[in-house]
Amino acid sequence: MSSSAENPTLTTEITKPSTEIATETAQSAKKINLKTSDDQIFEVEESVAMEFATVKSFFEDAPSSTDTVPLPNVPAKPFSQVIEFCKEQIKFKANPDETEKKKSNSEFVKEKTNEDLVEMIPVANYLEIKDLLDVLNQAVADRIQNRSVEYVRSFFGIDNDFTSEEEALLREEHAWAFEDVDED
Amino acid sequence: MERKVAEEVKRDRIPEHLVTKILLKTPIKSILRFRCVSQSWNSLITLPYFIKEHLANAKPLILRTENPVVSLSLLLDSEGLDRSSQMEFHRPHSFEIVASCNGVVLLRGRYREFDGRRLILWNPSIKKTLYLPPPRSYASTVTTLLGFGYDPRSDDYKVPRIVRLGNSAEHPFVFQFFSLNSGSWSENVDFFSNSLENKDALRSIFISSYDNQAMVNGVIHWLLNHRDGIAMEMSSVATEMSSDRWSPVVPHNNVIVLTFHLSNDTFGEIRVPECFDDTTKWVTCSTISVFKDLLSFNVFEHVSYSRGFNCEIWVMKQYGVRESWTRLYQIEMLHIARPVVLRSNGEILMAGYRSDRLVSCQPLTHRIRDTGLELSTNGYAAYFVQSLALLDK
Repeated sequence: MSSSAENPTLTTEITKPSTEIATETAQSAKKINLKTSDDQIFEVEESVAMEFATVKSFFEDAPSSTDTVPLPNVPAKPFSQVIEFCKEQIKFKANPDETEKKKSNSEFVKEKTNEDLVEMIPVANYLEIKDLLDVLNQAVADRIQNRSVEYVRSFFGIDNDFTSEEEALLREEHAWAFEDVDED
Repeated sequence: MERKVAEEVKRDRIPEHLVTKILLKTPIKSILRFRCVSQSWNSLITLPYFIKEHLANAKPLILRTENPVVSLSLLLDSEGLDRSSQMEFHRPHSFEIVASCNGVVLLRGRYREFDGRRLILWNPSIKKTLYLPPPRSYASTVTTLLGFGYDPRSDDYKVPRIVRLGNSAEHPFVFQFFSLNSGSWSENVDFFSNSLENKDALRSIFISSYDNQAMVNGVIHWLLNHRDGIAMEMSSVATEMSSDRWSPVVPHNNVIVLTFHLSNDTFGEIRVPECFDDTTKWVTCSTISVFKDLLSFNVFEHVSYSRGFNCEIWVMKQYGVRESWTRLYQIEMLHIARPVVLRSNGEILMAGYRSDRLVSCQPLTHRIRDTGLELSTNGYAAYFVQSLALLDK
């Protein structure tokens, strides 16, 4: 299914998308203002904003709206990373290449800290960005699967609410599952 | 928008349904370990919903016995079927595999004279064993037929059991089944409540030690021989097959498919294709299996010493309708083998080729490829998945 349009020499825009207030090029592409929970305003291209199903349906419900869209559950830091991901995704929409897309996705998560991933998941969920959510869930699964229970608790910020007796019983039930676990 | 916002305001950083999604992407070993993370993770993992979702995403594997102690499985659809994808399970000592379903294996005591009523449900993937209470003892344990299946409607695992109260045709059968949810056996199930066309044949059924079970449509099927005619025990067929000699023949009309409906706990019968009613036809052996969720009837006929055998694979296209039996393949094979499972590449895995090989057969080109794995005809091999089943039991 290779087409001529699929040539690897992608045009210009390999520049790292700047975070924060994204004032990209001086092109005439329509921009949309999105306001995060910590009151930062992101100006993003419409095509990127339409990747957020939540925002998209907002405009479908109120097509004439020109106001800034509030995103009360979305803090600026993870949001800027989500925008970064979606900008990359759009390139593959015009130019589908599964191998390159996978590579790009794995590079995206590779340079993120555990904290980044955990913060982005609720944002991707709220904005209903399915592709990103899949990528993040898989990345988290990969990072935790060989890890200890203690590591996973701190990864997700979960308090241990078992009594030591309860926990000992569970550990005993699946003693083999606690063998060969990576060092924290 | 506003309504949605209100819904999304949650205390947890990652909502529970996303924790579920993440956990489903990790191996079983990790899932079991992570029960210890917190109370909520533990209850999430042991939810029937979680266990079912996990099962729905499971990869197809083959469970097979390699020697009396160890069973292995491998990815069914990886092209090479090589050993690199295998896992070893140490099954409980002195037990043998009867059947498996949803990653759970039914085992019975190997030494039937002493412990034929000892039954275990075993999920090797989570290393869990459940000992079933012994069924009421009836006569000789040698003439016991066992099955194992899952009923999604009641979310229950069931073990039907048929015992003949003696060794001759005059002795009646007792039909019983075990339900895991109830934890007990139902004795003397009224078998004949279903109208049976073939009552005489049924009376002369010979229960052998070789249980060839196939589960389709929520129904367990066993292929059994009649006692009259030149009826022979399936295990002796297996022996003949494994020694790969031209074995004694069985008349076509001498087999019967006995059934157990998991949803309503009744026993019944399915008839094989009509053309096999012909009493003058003879076959070397026949088995049943499952192809693409259809019940299949596999028949081997000897052609000649130089050309070997003709293997016919029939499927019942419309379940329960005898007229819908259709011959799917006709394969020329030099040796007999037992069809085990259809792979996604269209090939059929067969056991016991050249007495002890597991081969992959392309039914259209008749090409046979050795998988490099040993499996005798009477060794156990079946479709298998890794699951969390029994974790909540």
